[in-house]
Amino acid sequence: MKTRLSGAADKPLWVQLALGLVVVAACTLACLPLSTLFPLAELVMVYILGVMLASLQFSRMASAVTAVMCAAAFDFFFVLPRLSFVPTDLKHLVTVAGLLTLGLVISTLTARLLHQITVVAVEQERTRALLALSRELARTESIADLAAEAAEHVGRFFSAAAAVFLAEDAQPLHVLAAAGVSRGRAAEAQPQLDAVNQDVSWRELATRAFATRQDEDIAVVGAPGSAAVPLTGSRGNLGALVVRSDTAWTISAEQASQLKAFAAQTGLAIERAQLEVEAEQARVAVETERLRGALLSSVSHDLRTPLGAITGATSALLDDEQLLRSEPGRDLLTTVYEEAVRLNRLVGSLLYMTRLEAGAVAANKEWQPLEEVIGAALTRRASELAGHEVTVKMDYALPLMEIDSVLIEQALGNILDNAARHTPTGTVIEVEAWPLGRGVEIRVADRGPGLEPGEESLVFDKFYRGAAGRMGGAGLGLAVVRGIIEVHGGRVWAERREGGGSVFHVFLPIEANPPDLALSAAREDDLVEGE
Amino acid sequence: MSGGEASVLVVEDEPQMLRFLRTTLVSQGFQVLEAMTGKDAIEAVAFRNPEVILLDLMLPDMDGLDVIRTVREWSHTPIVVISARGREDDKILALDLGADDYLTKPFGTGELFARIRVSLRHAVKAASDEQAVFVAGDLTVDMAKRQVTVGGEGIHLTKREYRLLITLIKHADRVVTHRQLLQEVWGPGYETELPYLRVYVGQLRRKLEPDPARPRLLLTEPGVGYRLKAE
Repeated sequence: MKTRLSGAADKPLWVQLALGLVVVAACTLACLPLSTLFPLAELVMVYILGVMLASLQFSRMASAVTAVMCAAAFDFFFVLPRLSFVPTDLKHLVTVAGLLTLGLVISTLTARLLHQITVVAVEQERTRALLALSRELARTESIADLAAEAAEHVGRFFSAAAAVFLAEDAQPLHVLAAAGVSRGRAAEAQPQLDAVNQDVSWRELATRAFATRQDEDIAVVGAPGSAAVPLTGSRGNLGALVVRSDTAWTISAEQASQLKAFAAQTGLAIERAQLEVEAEQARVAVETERLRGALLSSVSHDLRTPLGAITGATSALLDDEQLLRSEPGRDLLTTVYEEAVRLNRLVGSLLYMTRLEAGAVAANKEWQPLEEVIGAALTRRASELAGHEVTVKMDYALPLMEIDSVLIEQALGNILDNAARHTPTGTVIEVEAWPLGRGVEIRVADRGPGLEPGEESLVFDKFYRGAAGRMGGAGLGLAVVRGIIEVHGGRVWAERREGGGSVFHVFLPIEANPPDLALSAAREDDLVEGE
Repeated sequence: MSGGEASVLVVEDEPQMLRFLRTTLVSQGFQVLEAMTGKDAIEAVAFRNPEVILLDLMLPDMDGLDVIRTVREWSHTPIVVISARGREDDKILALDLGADDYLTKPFGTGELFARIRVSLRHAVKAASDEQAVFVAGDLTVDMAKRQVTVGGEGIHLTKREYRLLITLIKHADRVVTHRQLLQEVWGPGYETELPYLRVYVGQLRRKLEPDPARPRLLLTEPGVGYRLKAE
């Protein structure tokens, strides 16, 4: 749409002709003082210069007319007799004819040269635009980003608004990205999409383009100022690329082929991304299947083991009345109790895990002091932690946290429980909480056997059991922890500890500003006599 | 302990659970009344006058919450709700409807007897005068003189902290929901200002507890409320 080297060639013909007249006048004026000093053949050179300049600036028609005018002016003003077109000398007639021919040839050649330069420049720009688009597309992964990138590039290339429509299995033809539709808010995607959705003609164009067969060769042209082509993929049309201008522009053949080149590239990239998504879905399906198998075998094993112990112990107690009051009898009862507790924990973890994976756990976040949640976790796991020395260090000026107390208590409890079960009785478990960046980090450090190298992230996987042995866990506790912390936008990780043992870190971010209530509430609240 | 022939109404539709509760309660000297449906439970409260009600919220014929609502229309008999973990909303609703406390399944007999004991004691106390001096461990609160001491040392409390402590003492050993506390200490209109309450409980813990991170007195019932441990 742009790209001409010359400045005046886009102006109307009569303007160019007027400018041509100015050139002729300027040449004539320049020759007037020279005409007494030089012979006619030298003056011709001035006019030739004028014709050259004119042909560089004007359209072919205008520069030809200027050449004729130059010849006429030369003849009229300088060839004897002056102020007459009819030369007396035949020699001068040849000079005039030579000037006319030379002028016309120059203007023609210049125009052709200019045209070729223009063609090359346009070609170059098209190639550059295509290259730029393909580079961006190669760098982009998600389908939505691909579409946005394509809309952006196409819109910019045509200095118009552009939109990418896509038809997917789940959704019929819908707009995926748009650029340059609503002015002034180019950075925001949603207003653009809304604007496209509000205007039915966008969809109509896209639908028509989408319906064309692949071998049909021409871009669909809708109302004046718009054009649409299908986005082609190897399995048929994927969608459509629509361009709209505010002006009454009609797409040229070159622009149409450019638009199709854009569409082909975009289609290819989107298809590649779709295939990747499909491959990923297939992979997830296989993984899910594998996990379900692991779940079934693990759960049935973990449920049966304690049940087996309970059944055995209780049947022994039922069979022998004396046993109930004896020392071994009490041991059996202890076993029954412990195994029941273990079953309860397993069922709880399974429920949490299922709900977390189904996305059914919506964190009920409220602003609260973290120390209370840590305290609740320690209190509820008091019996599990009874064999260990637990130390707590925390900054009591910790900011309020926006967390779900029940979930975080469960997560911390699981970490503590894990530490208690995997470390020898009597060792120390250290709990700490400190501010870290825009959030708080909680650390639970133990002096147990520690993690094997490479185990640090595995421990948070479902059904992963430490190399050190099962220790009665189903490999779900820490997976639940990770699920809960992720629901809070936080991070959990484990490390081997210097000097033996392991450290579990939980980072919880503070995303909003905590309510400033401690001060305002205290002001209305006077001291009471305490002595 | 001994139930001393106090009568407990057990409302539970699962036979195994019912058998466990009956056996342990009888062995402790309680007189056990049984109901397996909500309708039977309400009738039993009306005609057999139990001293404590153990109520499972999952009943075949009606919602346990509706049983509480109906019973509370004419009876102050203490109700201890039996509920599963992860159903915090049910517990809060039950408590706000007038239940006195809850037990989370699975629970041991120690917990069961403690809840019943506290409920019986509160029922008796409600009839008699308020006690003037409250003692729990190192903590002594003289309500007449408005004096609070820990291990003999006077403690400065703000008015609001004091009112919070007194409210918890009034419900000693029983869970008090966030909503109830906000209503009683801050007044109506503050029921949703949970962060206030949590900050004040934190301050109170720092003044009364030797290790505020591991409270022994002001216990948190996650997602439900607080419990002042006196026993």
